[in-house]
Parts: sequence; structure tokens; C-alpha cells
Amino acid sequence: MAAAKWNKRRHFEQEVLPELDVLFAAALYLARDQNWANDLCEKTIVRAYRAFNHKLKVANYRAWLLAILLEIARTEEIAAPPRAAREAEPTRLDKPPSSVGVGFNIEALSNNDIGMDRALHELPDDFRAAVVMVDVAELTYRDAAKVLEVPIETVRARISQGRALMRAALEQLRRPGGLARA
Amino acid sequence: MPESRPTRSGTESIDHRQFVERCLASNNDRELESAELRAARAHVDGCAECKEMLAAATEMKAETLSLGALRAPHELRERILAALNEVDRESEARERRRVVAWISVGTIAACVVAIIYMRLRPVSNPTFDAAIATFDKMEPNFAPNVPSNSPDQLAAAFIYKFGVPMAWDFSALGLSTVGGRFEHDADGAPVGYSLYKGDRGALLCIVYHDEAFNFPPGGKLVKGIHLYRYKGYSIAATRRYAVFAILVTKLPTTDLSQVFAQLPG
Repeated sequence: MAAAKWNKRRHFEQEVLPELDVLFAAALYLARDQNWANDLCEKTIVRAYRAFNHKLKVANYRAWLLAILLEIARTEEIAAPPRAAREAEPTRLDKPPSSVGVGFNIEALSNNDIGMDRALHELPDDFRAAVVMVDVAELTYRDAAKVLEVPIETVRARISQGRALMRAALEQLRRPGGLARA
Repeated sequence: MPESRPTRSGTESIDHRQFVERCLASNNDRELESAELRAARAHVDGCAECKEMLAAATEMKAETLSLGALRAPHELRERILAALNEVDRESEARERRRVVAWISVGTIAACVVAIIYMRLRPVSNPTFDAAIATFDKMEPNFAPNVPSNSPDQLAAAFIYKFGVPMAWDFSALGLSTVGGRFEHDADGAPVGYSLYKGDRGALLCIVYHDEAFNFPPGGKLVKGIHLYRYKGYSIAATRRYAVFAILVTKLPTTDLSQVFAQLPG
């Protein structure tokens, strides 16, 4: 019995937990709030761990985790910060939130990254979710469609539209004084 | 933002952005049909605007990918590992409770089985054992020593000897009266025997004075006669005044019950 427990934990840490960084990035860009993103990640990992067993057949743990994360975000919306607050004060990576830990490598983000971050944040929710799944989490369109529970053509359309909107936002942000204005 | 424009053939409306997106998607969506991808690439190769859009979009995509290079905060990792430890503790506690529950259920089941066994197990009764031994010994070679060719004659003999008619009519079971026999035990006290026999088996009745016999619980009482199933035998026991009669047979207890049920109340 003890060996089985140990194996479960070991397999989970080896096979699933390495996806935490991507999960965190996706949560941060989806939630636009550091604390909520942390809560989402923790709940997602715990729920996944509870469901994890040797009989579980998961082709893509990253997609699995993201699907769980979206499910939690949908069902626990009430626990999230008020939407108005998130809209008014999105997470700004050029100013790390106080709760950001030492592992949050803000220094690695260039001005370009910061601009991208803002452009991504300004996308409407559906477009941002599609871009996050495909361009940040690097899911296939098929997996993204499953995670987002929309047809694959919808994913393609949202990504296309989302990138176009980001490009337009970036052009504006990268004008002289753009970042400072933002 | 690109607009939908007519194709060179002018037969249908297309979106240049879709071609660009399909080219970009080929890296993500490996299942994109090759014909679809070839068509998209062929279009982009021949369309300057699309080439420019593809270059910009590719750069855009690469920049977006860089956002995924974030690392989860150390404190989040610590929180998650602590939460997993808690889940492990809960699982172990649940497993322990499950084991304890199974042990409890097993123990209770064992107790129930033991109680049932104890209740059903025939409690050794020396009187019954002695009666069975007498039956096994006397039945094959029973030698009557009193005139008792009918139940009435037998009843009269017992009335004469013990004061009560310890005799029954078992003809309904196919048993006829073989006869009666009176002896004395080692203390000189009288003991009466009567044997009934038929194709289905035999029944021996033993009569003697005994005021102290305690009828064991668990039997069936029919018209003042206690019926028991004991070690493969049917035992019937009754006492009238100080005279005790015990009947032994291998016939079913229900047969005896039917006979005794017909007795007058």
C-alpha cells in the first residue's frame, strides 16, 4: 500500500508536475490576477492529483491540466476577484505583484515581452483564451479545441483574430512613449 | 487587418488571413490535412501580401511563445507540494479508516457467525445422548416382556406401572406397536420401554420417574410435548406428574409434530 502511494506521488511529480510552469503562465494570462492564478494552479494540481492513478489514460497532461483549470475557473468564478477590478487593473509584469515569488523570473522579460503581455491582456476573453492555449501553452489546435470546448475552426478563427488584435495593440504600444503611456 | 478579397479566378471570396493562419497552424496542428496545407502554402508563395503577413505573424507567434517562458513562483510550488502532502495524508487516513472499517465489519461478521453457530450448534445433553444410545442398542433386538400389541394395551400397561398412559398411536407415520418392556435401573427404579416400528423407521419411548429434568430451550412445544432435532435424531420429551418420557427416532421432527398436534388438548 505504501509503495503504491509512493509510486503515485513519484509518477505525478515526474509526469504531470513539470507542466506547472506552463499551467502558471496560462493561468496568469487567463486570470489576469496573480493571486487568483496561484489559487487556480493549486486547485488544478490538487484536483489532478486526486484523479491521478495508474489506470488513468491521458495523452497530453498539459491539455488535461488546462482543461481542469478552465473548469475550475468557470465553476469557481465567484471566488475570483471582481471582473471590474481585473479589467481596471490587470496584472502588470513590468511591476511584479507583491505576491510574486522568487521563481517568477520577471527579469527575463524584455520590453517586447512586456508589450506582448499587455497586448495579450487587452484581448477579449475568448480570443485571449485561444491564443494562450495555442501560442503560450503550445497546444495543438485539436487539443485547444477540446480544452476550450469549441470547434477547431472556432479556435483557428479566434487565434487569427486575436493575433491581429495583438499586432494592432503592439504597434500602438511600441510607438515612442507607448509603453510609458500604457 | 487583411480583408476578404476575390481570388485570381474571381470565383470565390477568400480571406488571406486564413491562408496565413493555416501555414502557421501547420506547426501546431499536425493533423491539418496536407491538401489544405499545400493549397495554403501555394497561395502564400504566390501572394506578396500574404508573405508579408506570414512573416509578421510568425514573428508575432514567436514573441507570444516567449510569454510561456514564465516560471511558477517558488512559493506556489511550495504551496502545491504542501497541498499534495495533505492529499497524501488524507488518502492514507481514508485508507486506514477503510481498513479499520473492514476489520470491524469482519469482526462483527465473525461474531455473528459465531453466535449463530453457537445458537445452532446442538448443546450436548446427557439425557438425550443416553436416550439415543439406548435407541441404537435396543431397536435392532427389542424383546417385549409385557402384553402390548396395540397402543391401547401399551397405554394400559404403562398406567399399571407408572400411573400415566405413556403410549401414542403412530400409525399415521406408518409405525405399528412392537411392544413394551419394563426393567429396573441400577437403583431399582422402574424403567419402561416401548418400540414402534414401520417401513420408514423406528421410534423408541423410554419412561421413568424424573422430576428434575429441565427441558432445554430451542425446542418446539406441541400439546405439552417438547420436540428437538438433536444429532440427527428427533427427540420428543414430556413429563406428566413425576413420570418423564423421552422418545427417540430418526424420523423428521415435523412427523412427530403432526402426530402430537392431533392429541386432545
